[in-house]
Amino acid sequence: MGMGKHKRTRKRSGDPEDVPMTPMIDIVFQLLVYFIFTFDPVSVFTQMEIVRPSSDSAAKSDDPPPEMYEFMVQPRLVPLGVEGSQASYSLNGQKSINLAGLEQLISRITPEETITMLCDTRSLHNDLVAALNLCTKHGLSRINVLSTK
Amino acid sequence: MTPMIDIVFQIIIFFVFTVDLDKAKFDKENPLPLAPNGMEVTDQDPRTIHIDVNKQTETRNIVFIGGSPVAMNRLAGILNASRVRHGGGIPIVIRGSEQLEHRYIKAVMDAASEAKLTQIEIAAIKEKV
Repeated sequence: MGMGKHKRTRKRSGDPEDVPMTPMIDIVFQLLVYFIFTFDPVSVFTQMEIVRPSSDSAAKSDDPPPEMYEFMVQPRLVPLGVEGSQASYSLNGQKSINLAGLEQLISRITPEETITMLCDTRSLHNDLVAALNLCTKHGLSRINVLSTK
Repeated sequence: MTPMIDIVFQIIIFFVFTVDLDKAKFDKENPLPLAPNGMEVTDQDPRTIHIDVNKQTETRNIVFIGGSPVAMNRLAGILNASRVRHGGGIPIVIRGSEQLEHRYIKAVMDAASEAKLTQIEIAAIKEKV
């Protein structure tokens, strides 16, 4: 009886139909909770900190330089995206190695040691980042990045 | 009830658009290199300058700050002006595309060094969306 009275009042006030709102609000809240939980903008990108030694700081230091691992990032013989293209590195001027060989060497370095990445100006940025990625993977953070002239 | 539903819809629209924003950051022509083991970006200095370096062979402008092209010979001056205005220690994030030759990254790093900004970070993609 009470509901009937209520309906009549609503109709008189101009509403065409009495739509049930509760299920819609339930769904809307479900969507809201889903988006709040899946909202994670920071996980997609990463930033790797490097040290760019300046010529001034090198000149001021009188101490002999500590033993360092100097990896050369070499230019690719075959362009990126073409079959047979692979990154090429070398440690302290020794023979060239690929990314897997680089990981083997990097895995033996302790976090206290300093690594220098010497990049050939024609080497690919992708190959430097791949090397930095391996350093991060093995917990190495003391990374200098230098470039050839 | 209507105002509450309005607000809830506004919040949903906000989340829908901001989730898509991350995908919009992916430039298909200039993809960033992949670094799955890189650390997540957490608290970032609000003064951080993001420099995009894209592969464009025939134009002078290959460097972008905040989407605006910047001539390479003016980059050091702009970074120096930022340091004078906002103080030293401003982090520089270099977003270089994977197929870029290192000489372009070197030019940006040299400009940062010239402006006495030494905190340099290399941006990469942690996971592909």
